[in-house]
Amino acid sequence: MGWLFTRQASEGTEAGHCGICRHFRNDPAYLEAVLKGLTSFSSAYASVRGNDGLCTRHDRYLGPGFYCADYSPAEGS
Amino acid sequence: MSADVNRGTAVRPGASGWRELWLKEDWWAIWIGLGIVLVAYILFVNGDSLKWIAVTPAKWSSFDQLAAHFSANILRYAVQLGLWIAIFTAATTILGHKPGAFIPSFILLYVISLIIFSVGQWDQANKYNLEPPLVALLVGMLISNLIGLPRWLDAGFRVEFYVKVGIVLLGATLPFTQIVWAGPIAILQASIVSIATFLVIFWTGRLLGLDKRLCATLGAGGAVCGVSAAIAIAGAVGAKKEDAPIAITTVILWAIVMIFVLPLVARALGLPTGVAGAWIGTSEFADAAGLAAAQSYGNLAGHVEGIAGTSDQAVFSFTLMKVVGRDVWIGIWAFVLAIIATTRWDAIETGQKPDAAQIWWRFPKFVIGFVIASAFITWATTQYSLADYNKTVVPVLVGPVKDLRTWAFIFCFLSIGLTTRFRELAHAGRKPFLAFSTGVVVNVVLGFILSAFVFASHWTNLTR
Repeated sequence: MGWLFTRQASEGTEAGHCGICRHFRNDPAYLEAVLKGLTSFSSAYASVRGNDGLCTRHDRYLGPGFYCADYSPAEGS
Repeated sequence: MSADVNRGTAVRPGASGWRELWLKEDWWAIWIGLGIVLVAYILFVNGDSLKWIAVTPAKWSSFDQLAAHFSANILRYAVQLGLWIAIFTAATTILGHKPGAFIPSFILLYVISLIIFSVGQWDQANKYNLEPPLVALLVGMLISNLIGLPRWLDAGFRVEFYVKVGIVLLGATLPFTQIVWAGPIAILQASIVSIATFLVIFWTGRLLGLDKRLCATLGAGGAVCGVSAAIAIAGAVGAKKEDAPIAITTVILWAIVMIFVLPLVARALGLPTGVAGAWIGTSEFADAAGLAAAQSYGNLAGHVEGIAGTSDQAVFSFTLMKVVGRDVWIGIWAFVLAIIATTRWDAIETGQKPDAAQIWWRFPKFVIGFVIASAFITWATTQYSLADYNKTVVPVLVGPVKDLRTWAFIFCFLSIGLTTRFRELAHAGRKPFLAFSTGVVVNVVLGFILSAFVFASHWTNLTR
């Protein structure tokens, strides 16, 4: 299925990645509120999280380097 | 909108650049931990010590003794509380927490910790199994699940932050030679168990019909560093929104069970503290949970017949196994799984170009502080013979750092309990729980065989 992935992914642009998309939320306080139980044994402020966050468009938890055809620039990006 | 993303495209999407130095708890743990070690050393070379402020409850057998201790040391406790508030408030405020919420929350945490610490110093505490880590956990869980606290008080219950500060301080009490000597074995043992556990969870999940990304998230949670690994892998492979909470719930449930079960079984088998620490380091799922278990078991040494070794051996072997053997590889796991997800798994709505730089972004930086603290104190005390080290360095330099480390760990253990609200956890589902549990069995058995048989002499002789 790799070919399918490549075809679909290419519909987005790497320049318009999730990290600067208005659908992407990675504020640590927000993530700790949404991901129940996260603070019991981890933290959204930890290095291992990097800058990952939630895509509110596709309901995915992913890194800011992801991209897709639904990219929409965030304010100020 | 997101507060800590990189605006613009000049910076690589996943990187925070220099901002990470003040926007991540790992770095703050380094600044605070190494800062304390440095101050302790400066005082030491000037004939002074951190001992005054690193006050801890003394052993007691009657309430009169306990009252006399607090009466004589009330100022020391007040200054210590002030110090913790100052450094933790500075760090958490820069991280984005409100000081108005953090300070009252931390005062509450400190007061309950002080009570628990005092209970642990009762001369009958061992008889009733009143180990401070376990008491802190249970008290915290009772408060959060039966009584309930206002949500805003969570600002001071920073499990990860306190455990990282404690681990950096722990580095100052562990000779660097031990990291060099035991590190490779820890990496070998942890790698065998981590890979086996991941594959078992992943393929059991697949056999049960679970999605590959959920299987990877669960597998990493069981194999590497618990909740932290689960969210790192979920982000790396682009998991569904509900996958990370499922993994979080599963890890929490098993981690809490193991805090009690592993020391209990180790005690029944009479394992030496070094061996038990290595086993817990291999088979527990989170740093904080494992430290609670290892410290509880270590505290039995010298108090329970048949348990050989020292308290420190349990904590040291645990830390080497968990932190050096497992935690530091999370970035590589994330990178490899990102490549596999991109090239081999079914397509999802979003794409990515896996970036090798995430090996560094996701690296648990507090480990750097742990290693530096160890190397620094080892270097600073090389001119002392073992006798002089024990007579001069331990009480004035290493001892106070160790006492502050104990405080940091108690804050952590109590915070675990206070933040674990079972009714709020996501519903994990039967299949994910079954897949994870299968990995737990393999993890625990394999970890035991390697710790208690294959590398037993290695872990028994740690720091001797």
